[in-house]
Amino acid sequence: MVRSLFLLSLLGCGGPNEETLVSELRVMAVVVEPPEVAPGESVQITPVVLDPAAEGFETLVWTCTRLGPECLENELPLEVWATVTTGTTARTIPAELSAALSEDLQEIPVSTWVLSCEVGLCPLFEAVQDPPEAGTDAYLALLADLADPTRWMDSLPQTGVSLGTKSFIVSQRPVEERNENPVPVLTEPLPEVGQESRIVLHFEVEDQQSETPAAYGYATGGGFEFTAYDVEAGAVDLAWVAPAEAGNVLLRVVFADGLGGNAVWEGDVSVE
Amino acid sequence: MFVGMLAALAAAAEPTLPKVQVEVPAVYPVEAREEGRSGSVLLEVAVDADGHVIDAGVLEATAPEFEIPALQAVFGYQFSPALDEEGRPSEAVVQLRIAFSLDAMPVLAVEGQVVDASGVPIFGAELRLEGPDQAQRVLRILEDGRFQIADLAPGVWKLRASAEGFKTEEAFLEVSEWRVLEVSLALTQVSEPSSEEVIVVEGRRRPVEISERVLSSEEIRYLPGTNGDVVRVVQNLPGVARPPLNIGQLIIRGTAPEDSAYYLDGVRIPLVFHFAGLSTVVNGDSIEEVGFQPGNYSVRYGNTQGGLVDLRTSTVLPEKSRGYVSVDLFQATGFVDQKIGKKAAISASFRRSYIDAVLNPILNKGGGGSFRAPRYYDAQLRYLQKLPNGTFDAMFLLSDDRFRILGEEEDGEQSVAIGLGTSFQKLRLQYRSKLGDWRQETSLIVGPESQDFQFGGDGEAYDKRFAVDVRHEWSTAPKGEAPGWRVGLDLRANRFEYKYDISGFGEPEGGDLCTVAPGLYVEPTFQWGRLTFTPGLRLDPLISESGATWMAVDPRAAITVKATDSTKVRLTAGRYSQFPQVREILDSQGEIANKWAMQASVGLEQELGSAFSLEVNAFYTALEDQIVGREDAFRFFSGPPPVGPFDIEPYANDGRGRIGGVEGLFKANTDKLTSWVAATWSRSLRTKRPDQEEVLFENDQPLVVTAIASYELPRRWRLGGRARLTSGIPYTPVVNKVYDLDAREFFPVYGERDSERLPWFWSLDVRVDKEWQFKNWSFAIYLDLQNATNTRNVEVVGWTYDYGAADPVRSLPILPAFGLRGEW
Repeated sequence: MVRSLFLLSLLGCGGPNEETLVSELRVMAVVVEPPEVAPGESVQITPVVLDPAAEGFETLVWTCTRLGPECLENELPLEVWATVTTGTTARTIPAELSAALSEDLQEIPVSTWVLSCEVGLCPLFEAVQDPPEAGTDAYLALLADLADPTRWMDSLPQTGVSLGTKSFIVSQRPVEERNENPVPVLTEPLPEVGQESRIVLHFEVEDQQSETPAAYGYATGGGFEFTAYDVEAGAVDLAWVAPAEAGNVLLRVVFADGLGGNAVWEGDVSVE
Repeated sequence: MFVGMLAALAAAAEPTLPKVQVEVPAVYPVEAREEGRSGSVLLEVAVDADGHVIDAGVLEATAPEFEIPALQAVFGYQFSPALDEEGRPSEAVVQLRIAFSLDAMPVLAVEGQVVDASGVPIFGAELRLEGPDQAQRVLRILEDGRFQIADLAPGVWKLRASAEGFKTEEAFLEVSEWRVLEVSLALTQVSEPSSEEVIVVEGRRRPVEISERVLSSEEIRYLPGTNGDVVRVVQNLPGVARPPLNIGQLIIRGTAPEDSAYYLDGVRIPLVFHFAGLSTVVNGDSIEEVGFQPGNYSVRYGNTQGGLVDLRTSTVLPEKSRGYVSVDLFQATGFVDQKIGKKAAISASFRRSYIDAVLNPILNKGGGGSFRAPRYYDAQLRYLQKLPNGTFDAMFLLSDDRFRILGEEEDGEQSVAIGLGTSFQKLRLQYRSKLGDWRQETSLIVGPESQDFQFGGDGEAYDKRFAVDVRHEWSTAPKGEAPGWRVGLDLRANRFEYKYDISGFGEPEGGDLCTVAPGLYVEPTFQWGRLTFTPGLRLDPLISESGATWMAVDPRAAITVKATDSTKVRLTAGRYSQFPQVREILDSQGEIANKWAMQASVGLEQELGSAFSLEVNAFYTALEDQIVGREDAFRFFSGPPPVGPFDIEPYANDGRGRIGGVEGLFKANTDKLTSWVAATWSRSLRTKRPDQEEVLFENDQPLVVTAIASYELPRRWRLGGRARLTSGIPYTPVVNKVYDLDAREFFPVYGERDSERLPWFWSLDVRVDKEWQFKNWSFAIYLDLQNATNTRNVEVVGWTYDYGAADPVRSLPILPAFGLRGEW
């Protein structure tokens, strides 16, 4: 008994895990479709942002491909690779990148940065939307800021601001060998939810490449019992515990294949 | 028959005067010794028919200061009796000259005073001492009741004090060549009720090092907050910062823990504390003294740019068998010391913690078991042999610490998920001898040492070392105009092997290297009146198996001026080099150089009567060529891991540092009270790379104040307390965070490194001891109430999973540590 209580207290079992509760603005995921592309091809980048307080926010998405100390994107016009949007944005991978791929370097990761801020909180948005003249010191400083966000994150508040980063892969592998995003399906519709009730979300997940996909649940109320669930035999059950108060709760489940591919299930539930 | 009669007639015709049979060395007056003056005293001595001195008086003396020591000495003389004309023993008066020569200066062993119950000196008291091998001394107390006894052979001496009208008292003195015993004798009159303890014996170590603080094991045992551990008490002295979580680290004068060293009788040992600093790896009852040297120490010690602790074992044979068994909240200890014949003794001790024995069944109840609480043990076996000119000392010592969390494999087998261990096994041989005025000391310590870390099944890291340490030293004290000398050779031969393969700490790395470091040091001591000058030079080459050599040349010097009998001023300066570690050598292809420090200090020691003393030291240390880089790589660290932006560049001698401060120590010690207040104000700064700004050292603690006291109450009760107030250590704040959407975890955005400081640390510990004395043994019990105010101090900064708020690690709540001890 003592041991059980000790282990339960260590693991946080027996109720919602506080790490799965999202109480302020947070970039939850970036879905890149497809997660692996060849030079010259395009990807669709979709940020997933949770705004529990519904304060309103704006989102900046940019990419950085490094073969050296600088981002290769610096050579391109800013509007091609840095976009203020809350929806999906497209990127075309420069065909010249194929020259860098070889037997030794079979894939190049491209970092995707997503910055979400309450409106007016982050000066970077204004700088990107109305950039300095290319080649000036101010423009070079902006490029440096985008290449290394830790340069300016210390000047921003910790609430109302969220910065996330995710990679996708550039390779020359044949299409059939490239990684794909997992496809989750909730097999049962969400049931009626009472206060502090526990419901289990059963997903079937289609994932061709990964052997170790995992699911991560997040909620704006209550919480999931664990921070991560293993997807086994193409299926996974996530247990969510409703809050003690009535109201609407946003649920998000991120499926990650560990190879760069991911998918997000989004659900809203009303707690009676 | 006829021949016999003739002889008798001849003897009857020539009466004889008494002749000296047993001579007692007179104690050299301190001022005369320091000023290099010699002298003599002509005495008139009355000798009875048994050859005992019954009276003596001064006829002439070259200086008055020689009179009392000469008179005290002569009362211990034994004469052959005078013979009258008929050949019968008879009383006689003779003249005797006692010379005081700097070339044959005796060594002070015991000093003190004989007083009555109200503290009035007793004139005419007699002290009789019986020592090893039936050696005897008799001393007559003169004038102010004070006495000094010199040249006593090491060992246990029985002291018997008597005076007319007073009860005779007895005590045993453990005389050692390393210390001067201070004896306070309070005799009760025949008509008075007897008090429990009238003889108080305290040890005062002979000064052999400059700027050294010495704690005797008797001084230490009852101090609160330390569980009576001899080395943990050092953490309460000036110059020592409080380590985070109170783990067993010594942060000395603003230097890193790994820059300080630990010695056993002058020979290096790998570590001194078990896990979490709970206790020392050598049994405290084997240790006579703990020498703590925060800086500016002798050239005797090398390859260290910080401070050092030298544990010194006793060379005194026990009077008879002695030993004890003790248990406390954390550990059980057994110790036995057995005399073998008249010249040898063997001692053994064993200690084991039982935190694991208590916690493991609780934590793993009902299951296969996955948690293994920390456990440690240590043992020492020692043989001590007195030889005609010295002492042979052999000791085997081992220590082993281990902590594990077990995981379960798919096949049901258990494997180590997280494991940490440290251990060493050492054989130490030592021979100390005297050759005329010279002391020789030869030491060898040999054996393996290791530490290992396991993580996540296949993650493994270890350091393994097989070390051979040798020291041979000759020393002699200054006499008059002749300088004293300390000349020595120490050698450390190492085979070091390491492997660091832990995921998240960069690429796996490993290597091995054999090195040898033969060090040579010379240190004369010149005395000119009240001034003592001690220059020294140490040469330290480190030679690797490839032939690469690192050379250190460390000159050091100290000047001591005894301004008055109670005031001493010291000035010291010197260079202290430290070799790079094997990993730094291999990783840099041998390009890395020694780091070194230039230390300087000025100190004042002031005795304030017999009970109080004040010591103030100001120090400054310049750190040069400090090795920096690769902060992200795996390393064994006995404390909280460093946080903040890491310097991940290759190793380089780019670092510099400045450390300065003032230390104060006020001591109040009486026969019943042991107490001191220690305070240190300091600042420790580092510049990691030439293009970077100067920042605070990660363990910088500007103010550290410790007040500690232990008072002996009637009926063998003792009460003690310790209060500590220290500045918080610096830390690097987290100013924002980034969400890694691949790893699904946050990583911090740090602010300026070490730009903020933890709150003040404050704690109060209280200790109560009670002892029962029986005929052949004693029993003691104590309660050491640590953190009696239940203050939850912040020990280490921590953060919530999303770095949204601080979540610090706090100190333990109130902890009632108790212990029992049975001693015979």
